Amino acid sequence: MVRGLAIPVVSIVAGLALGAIVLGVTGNNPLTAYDEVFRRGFGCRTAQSDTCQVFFTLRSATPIILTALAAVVAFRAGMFSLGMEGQYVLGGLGGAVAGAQISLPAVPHVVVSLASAMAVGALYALIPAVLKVQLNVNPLIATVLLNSIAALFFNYMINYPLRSDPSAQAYTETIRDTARLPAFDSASQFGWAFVIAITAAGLVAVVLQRTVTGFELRTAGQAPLFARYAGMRTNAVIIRSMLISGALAGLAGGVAVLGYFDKAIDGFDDGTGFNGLTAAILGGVTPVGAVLVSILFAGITYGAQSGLQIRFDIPREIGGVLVALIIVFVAAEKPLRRTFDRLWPARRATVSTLPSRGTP
Amino acid sequence: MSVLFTMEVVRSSIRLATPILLATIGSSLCNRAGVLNLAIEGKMLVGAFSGAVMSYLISNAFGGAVFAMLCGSLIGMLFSVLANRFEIDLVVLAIAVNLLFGELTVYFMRSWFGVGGAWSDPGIRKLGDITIPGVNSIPFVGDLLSRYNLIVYASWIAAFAYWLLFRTRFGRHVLAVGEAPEAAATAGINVNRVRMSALVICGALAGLAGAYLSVGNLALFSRYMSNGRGWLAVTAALLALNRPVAVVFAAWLFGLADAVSFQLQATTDVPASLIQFFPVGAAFVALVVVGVRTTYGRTTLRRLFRRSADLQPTIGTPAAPLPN
Repeated sequence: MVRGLAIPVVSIVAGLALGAIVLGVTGNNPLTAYDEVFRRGFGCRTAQSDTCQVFFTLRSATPIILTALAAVVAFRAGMFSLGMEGQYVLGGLGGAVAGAQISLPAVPHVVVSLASAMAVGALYALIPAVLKVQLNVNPLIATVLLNSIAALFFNYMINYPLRSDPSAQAYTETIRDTARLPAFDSASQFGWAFVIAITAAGLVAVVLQRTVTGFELRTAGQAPLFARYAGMRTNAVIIRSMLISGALAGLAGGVAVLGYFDKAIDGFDDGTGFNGLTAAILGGVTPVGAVLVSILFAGITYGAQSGLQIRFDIPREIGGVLVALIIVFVAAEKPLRRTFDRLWPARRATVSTLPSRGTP
Repeated sequence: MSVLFTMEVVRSSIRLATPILLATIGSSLCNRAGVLNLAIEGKMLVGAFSGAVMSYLISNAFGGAVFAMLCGSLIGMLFSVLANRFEIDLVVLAIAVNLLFGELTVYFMRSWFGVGGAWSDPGIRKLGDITIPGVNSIPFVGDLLSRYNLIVYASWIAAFAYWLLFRTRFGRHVLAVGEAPEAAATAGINVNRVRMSALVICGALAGLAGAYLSVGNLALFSRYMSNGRGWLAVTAALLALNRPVAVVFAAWLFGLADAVSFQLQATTDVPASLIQFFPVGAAFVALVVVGVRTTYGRTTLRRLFRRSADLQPTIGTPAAPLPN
């Protein structure tokens, strides 16, 4: 347990240390900056509102948690897909359309809208999955290109066919009240969305570790030859896992639209997919890690955005820079692990060299 | 329709293809050496920013471009050292670095120049167009080949150099290291050094490509200026199967898609996002075509190609040997 945590913790500390250098180089005091970032991200100072700041962070973290879960599912199946961003954006669009166009009572409407978002995400994830399975197309490059295509499509849709208001900013029709995902606290918008995200994390954990689907998924990722030998149809497994991954990323978009924005709006493609992806990697590609690291990233980014620039004239991009620096150290997982093994060797089962009783 | 095929559009396509061509050559070189370099997008961005800053500082665009190449090659060297000495996963590092440079360039832009969106200043010099004296007067060919800026011509030189490369000893070493590293090592080739050279050259080319964006055409730097061109370059390299002549055509194809999209935006009412779809759509179709060719194509193509499908990271799964 400690060893599992050690590497992410080292990455975070090292990333913050490098970030301090960046801050210092541009003439800012890292300590005051970090103090502000962490206070604003995770603290309970009631500066502008009556809510704890941490609820704002949890609200921002929610879509990231879901895209991180999408990444966990995809990576565990051996598909290095970066497509969460595109699936998130299109899922949000699907949720917005379902929320505005269909007429249903409250609870079913939310369910149907979220389901639409998930369906759109899943279908979009099907494309790179099929390409990989049938044509051995590198999913990394395919999903990066598909993300661009999704973003362009989204922009086109909200600017032209689905545009609701010829005013400055483009957005689709506002969803009906029955489709809204309620919040527990209206100031921070922290509400059912977060509950959905945590439930999803639990479900992913259970499915991965305790169901046949999860087992097939993990085996296809870790030992594809063995999986095929054991009779698992790895192609079907990969497609199934990408569908789940896409559904989770689409759910992230749906939750953001139904819970926070009430419409699909220009600027919705803000990198949530990428944040989730990197959070999953830092969290060791596990559901629990994904949740924790997503909250950490959201806190750092929100903390940097909400006060640094105004109070200390430090560009808010430092939040993104810190997150990226931490990820840089995730890339060093192998060498770090080797160093750890050298410093703190794990207890290994020792093979006894003494002759056992029965042998001559 | 005829408005699409004017000389101006062709010239524009050559200009737009320039950064992609430079980056594609770099990517192809790395692919040939067996290194999957996905940080090209980030290196281009660094090149664009450092080129603009240096051009501003010394009031000389050429110096800016050279500095951009230097920065790019330094990053390439850093990558190489990290991968060789410290066994850092290059793919995760590339993703991290792309994100990092995106945010970092805006951070410095804001810190040093006070703007967050785009930085332009009369102090930033850009490269002027070069008129080749004799060629310029030839009616058709002159318009095609003359009056571009220095980096465009540099990209043509780079393409030619790439073609020459595989007839040199170093080029053959690159091929050997890429196809059979253990055999190359046994034959006495310093595998790490060859890979480092590839990464450094790729970094320099990507840096120059970025410099073209900022000080070649315009005289400004805007956030996320590279805008996905690095990924177009990676795709173009795949489409061209890393071959010298083919990379020119692949990169030019994307430049053409870009030029057509600009022309359509200027002359028709079709929405911008629909038109901007062309280059990326073309790249995606190219990727699928590559997939089809390698799965159903002739054996030689399949062998040349397996590299790209095999070079994938294994996050969350221990490295699994892929069936050959």
